[in-house]
Amino acid sequence: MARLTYILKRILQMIPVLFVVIVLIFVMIRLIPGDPARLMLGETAVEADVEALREAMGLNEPYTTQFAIFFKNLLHFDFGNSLLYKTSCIDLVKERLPLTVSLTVVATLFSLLISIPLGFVAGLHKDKASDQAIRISALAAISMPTFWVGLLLMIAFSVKIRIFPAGGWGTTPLEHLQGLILPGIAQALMTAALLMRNLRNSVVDISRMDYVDFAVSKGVSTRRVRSAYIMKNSLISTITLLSTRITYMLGGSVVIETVFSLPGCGKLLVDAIFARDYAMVQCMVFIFALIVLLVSLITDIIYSFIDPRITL
Amino acid sequence: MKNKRSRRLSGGLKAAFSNRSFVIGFVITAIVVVVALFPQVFATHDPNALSPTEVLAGPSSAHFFGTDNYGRDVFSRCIWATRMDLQIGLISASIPLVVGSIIGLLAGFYGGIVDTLFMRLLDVVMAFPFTVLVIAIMAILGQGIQNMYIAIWIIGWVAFAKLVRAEVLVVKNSEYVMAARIMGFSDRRILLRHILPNTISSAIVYFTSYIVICMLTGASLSFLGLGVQPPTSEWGSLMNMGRGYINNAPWMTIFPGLFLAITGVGLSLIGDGMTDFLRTKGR
Amino acid sequence: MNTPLLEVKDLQTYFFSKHETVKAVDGVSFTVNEQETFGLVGESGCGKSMTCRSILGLVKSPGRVVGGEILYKGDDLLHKSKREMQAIRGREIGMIFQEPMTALNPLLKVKDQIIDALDKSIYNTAEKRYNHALEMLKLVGIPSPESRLEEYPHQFSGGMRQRVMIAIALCSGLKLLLADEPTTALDVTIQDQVMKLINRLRDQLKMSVILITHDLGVVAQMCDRVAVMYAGQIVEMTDTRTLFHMPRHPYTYALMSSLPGAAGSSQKRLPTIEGAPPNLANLPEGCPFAPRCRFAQDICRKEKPELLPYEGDVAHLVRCHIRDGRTQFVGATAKGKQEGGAEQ
Repeated sequence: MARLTYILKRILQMIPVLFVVIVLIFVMIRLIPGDPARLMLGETAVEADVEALREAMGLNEPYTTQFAIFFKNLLHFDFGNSLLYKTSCIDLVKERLPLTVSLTVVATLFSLLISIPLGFVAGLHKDKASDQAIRISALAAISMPTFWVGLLLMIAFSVKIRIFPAGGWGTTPLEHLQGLILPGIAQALMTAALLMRNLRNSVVDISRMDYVDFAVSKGVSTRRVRSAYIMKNSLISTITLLSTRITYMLGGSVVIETVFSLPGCGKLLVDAIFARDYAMVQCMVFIFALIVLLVSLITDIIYSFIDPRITL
Repeated sequence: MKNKRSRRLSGGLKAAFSNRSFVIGFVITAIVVVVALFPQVFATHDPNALSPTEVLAGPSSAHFFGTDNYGRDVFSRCIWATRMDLQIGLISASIPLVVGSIIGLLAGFYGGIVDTLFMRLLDVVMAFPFTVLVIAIMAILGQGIQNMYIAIWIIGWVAFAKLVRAEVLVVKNSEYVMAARIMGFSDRRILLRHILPNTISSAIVYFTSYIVICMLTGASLSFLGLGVQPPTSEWGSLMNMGRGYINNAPWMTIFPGLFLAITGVGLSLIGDGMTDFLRTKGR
Repeated sequence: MNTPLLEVKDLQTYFFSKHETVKAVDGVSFTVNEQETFGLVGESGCGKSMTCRSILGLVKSPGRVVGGEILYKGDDLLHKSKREMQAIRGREIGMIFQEPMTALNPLLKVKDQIIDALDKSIYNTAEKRYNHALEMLKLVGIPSPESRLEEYPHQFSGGMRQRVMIAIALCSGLKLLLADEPTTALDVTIQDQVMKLINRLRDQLKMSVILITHDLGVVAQMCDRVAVMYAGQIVEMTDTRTLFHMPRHPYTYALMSSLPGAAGSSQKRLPTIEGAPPNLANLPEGCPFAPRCRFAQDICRKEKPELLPYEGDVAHLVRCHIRDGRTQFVGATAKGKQEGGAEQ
């Protein structure tokens, strides 16, 4: 019950942020120098068409009315039609969101699989050879552009050894999964490196804590000390980082989906920008912001379960 | 006073140069800077010289990194691109360092409405994935490198402000700042003489890693075709071109990325070294 | 004389870095008898905590026990395997820490932290373990123990947390408790309660206690025998009564006079010992206390003194060149102290 109130409270706290986000998205298109309708249709368009689009976008109304309409539509997730695809923006997003979400999930799983064991080993063996090796690889991974890693993986595993598709994500779930492996690893690499460094440093710090010594002094087995005392406490700061990294990887889909020609939201956004498809851009930005807020809400909920010091 | 400060600085440098990470990072970065300043010395060919007879040739003694689809020397193009990429990193990262530190200093020091406004703004900026926000701003401003800078500036200062603000909150209540207050020093003097020197180090450490982030972002945007436009050599845009030839000329993609990664490692090592050094000093 | 429970012989624990070696514990020897409270007194950094950590094998890199013996019931703990040590920790010898907030795992319920310390082969059912945990909270006097068991450390007050820590340390029936400044972080009234609790438990559970403190008041209240440590070495060791009535080392005397209301101390202000504790990596040639000592003579600056019986009394050991002639240095101390006070 207390937790439910807490969750509700967190959702309520998000409403002002969401409102400002909506205002920004509304203002965004109005900040474009020149006439958006003209820009969208191009120099060669007939004035009558431009005027029609202007009317359709409500650009002739006063700003307050425009915002009221925009806001009302937004509550129904109605962003109008995409200029590029001539269909409803939100339908396009619905169609493509699963890919981007699965890609982010796969990347998150990969980064956890890599970072947790390595970060823990490095932290426990501070300054030993294994720690040094792990830290150097992390440093290299942090300095490599994701899309380049993607391209290298593609050269290695799609061009030289043909075990993964060079792009696209097929039609069946198995093909989907195959298509997500390489981009997932590429996406995961930098996140894994950052998580690993963070975890390594917190393991080093936590190992010095009195409660670890106290646990040892009361005769708790090494295994239990590591799992319930060092690991559990170390993961707390790592979860915060993970949530910001998930957000970052979500944004990174813009690049990695382009590299692997995956028809996801990131690709949709890039295409929309090139086509000056502003309705689509607005819709995408809103959806991304919504997902980010959702991720941070879930993070807070996870915290409320694992850290008893959080006041519900 | 001046003497004391310069002694502190030289002591700091000495300590920094006894740190292995810092030294290796410094050497790598120095080499990259020299390459950026004098590309003509290092380039083996004219980066724009077309050679229709040598299109998509693999790495050889004539062309270390092979040639591209127009027969241009990939090694020389990478060398010439260094200046552009370093410039992207420095220009995109410096403005946020300065502006963000000032705002963080003021928000942390004065608190109140400035701070509240800043924190709310932070919530909003944090509600967008970094890349999406940059791209969205570029959608408004249009493509090209100037607009890319502006987009990164608009978002980048927030991280510095957040970092500096947190440090200020700690230092603000320290004894020496209290003492300075009791002695009736002006806010300006307290901020510049007492708070700034003690909070700026973490911002400077973050600056080195932020240069890397900006370079990677710049390269990504150029790779997408939103940043640096084709005639200019830039590692990201070189890779964008190489992408189309990934099957028969992977060198067009591999080597520009390698340049970027090495530069990134150099800067990250400097940042790491400084962190180590500051951490041991703190203890 | 029966065989002592613990006998530490010439213990040396050093810390190594690239440039220097810090002798945190430099040849410390003492014994702790059955059902005795033994005090280790000194300023922070004098090696008293490190001595305790060495006994339990809790010294961390870059620190290492480089020499000596730690005989527990006649067996050298320094030659025990990891597994053997684990069986001794918490079952035979346990430890409580200075800061109860940081010594308890913030993420585990008090119940689980007690149960973690239990021997699973003896407490082989969940019910037995739960009942014993409950029993322990009752033993240390925590009200409504049933609900408290389900709580987390941050929900307890400082004093209650210290009681919880004691309950955890004692839950497997210790023979020897190492108490590292157990009350320093607590309010004065709570301090007293915790001290009384430790005293009561010592008698009730028939165990011995090594009490580390910098507070001679606590020593007077708790300890049977005391060792005063300075710069990694014991400078004076005797029974509590003798220490308070006839302190023989200038450092002990200086500590005494910093006690409020103690003999020779000013009622108005709390004098502190002048000067800073020495740098353990770079000790002076002679007696480490000489630079701060009011009575230091040439020999003190040249030769290191030995820990020797005072006037043939093997129960009273002093490490000082000028240990005889009490009146001389007592008078001088009082005078010196006043001068020191005027300077401040």
